[in-house]
Amino acid sequence: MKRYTIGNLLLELEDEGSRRCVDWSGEIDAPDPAPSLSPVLNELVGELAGAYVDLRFDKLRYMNSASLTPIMTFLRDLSAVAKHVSVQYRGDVEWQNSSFRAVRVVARKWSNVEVVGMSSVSQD
Amino acid sequence: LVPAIASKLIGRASRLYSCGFRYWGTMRVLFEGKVASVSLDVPTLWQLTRQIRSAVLVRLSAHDPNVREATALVASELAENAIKYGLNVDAQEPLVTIEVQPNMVRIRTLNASGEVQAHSVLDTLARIAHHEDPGALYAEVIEKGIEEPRPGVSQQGFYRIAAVGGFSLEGKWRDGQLEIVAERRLT
Repeated sequence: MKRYTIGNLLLELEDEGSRRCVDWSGEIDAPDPAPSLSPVLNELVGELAGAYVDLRFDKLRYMNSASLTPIMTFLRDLSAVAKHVSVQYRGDVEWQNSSFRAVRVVARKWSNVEVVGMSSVSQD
Repeated sequence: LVPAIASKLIGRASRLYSCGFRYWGTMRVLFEGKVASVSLDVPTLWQLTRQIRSAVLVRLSAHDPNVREATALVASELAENAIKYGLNVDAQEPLVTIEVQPNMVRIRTLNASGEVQAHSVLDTLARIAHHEDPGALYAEVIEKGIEEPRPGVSQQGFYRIAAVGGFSLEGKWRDGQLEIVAERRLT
């Protein structure tokens, strides 16, 4: 497993069968997250090229509005190199549901990206 | 005899007290002398946003989790905006005021961002208020943010407050300050 810590955010990259999974946990609340977040996300794009990818946000406690642009830019760049990307969030948690509903609308133009609401937290 | 004994006892007690005081004083100096390094962490202003979220989650622990988290999110976004673009160091009022009633949550913040910026925010608030689908509007703004990243100009936080927090927004510019009120009805 590979771990990346950016402030209060922890990213864990792990292989599960044929899929590569990235678990997001903690919080993203820096005033301008891009300078610290984007280099790590760019590295992940390289790591995940050619793979079937699960991006699991269900354990993320908080993200601020400023974090969405670097995350969406990552998703766009990842969709260009990965075989398939599944974005997973807590469908039963209102703030996650509303946030990722917007992500789903934007991600419609990337045909290999699906945005899926789950009903509970993924197992460790 | 009794006064003499009493006087002796009082004298001894007083010497013991004064000796003890001196001893305690010396101990205190030695103790303080041993503490050669003192560490004190003063949080950054930005950490206030984390404290606001944490305080809201604790104080609203009896409320519906979705309302609690939405309130924390909105209070944090409004505080972030004020700290980033319009912190008034002379403010006589709190940065953020959160009022929770049985049927409503109201969050108010004051922002001294300057008149031009304030009117730009008021235009954004009006755009959000007149749009029938805050979620679709938010998605539109996110999409634009990817195509033309303009940190600090997009005002994504306000779109998020409406779309994700489920709050309505109103703003007023007066006395050199922008007052923003976010409100959510509780059912």
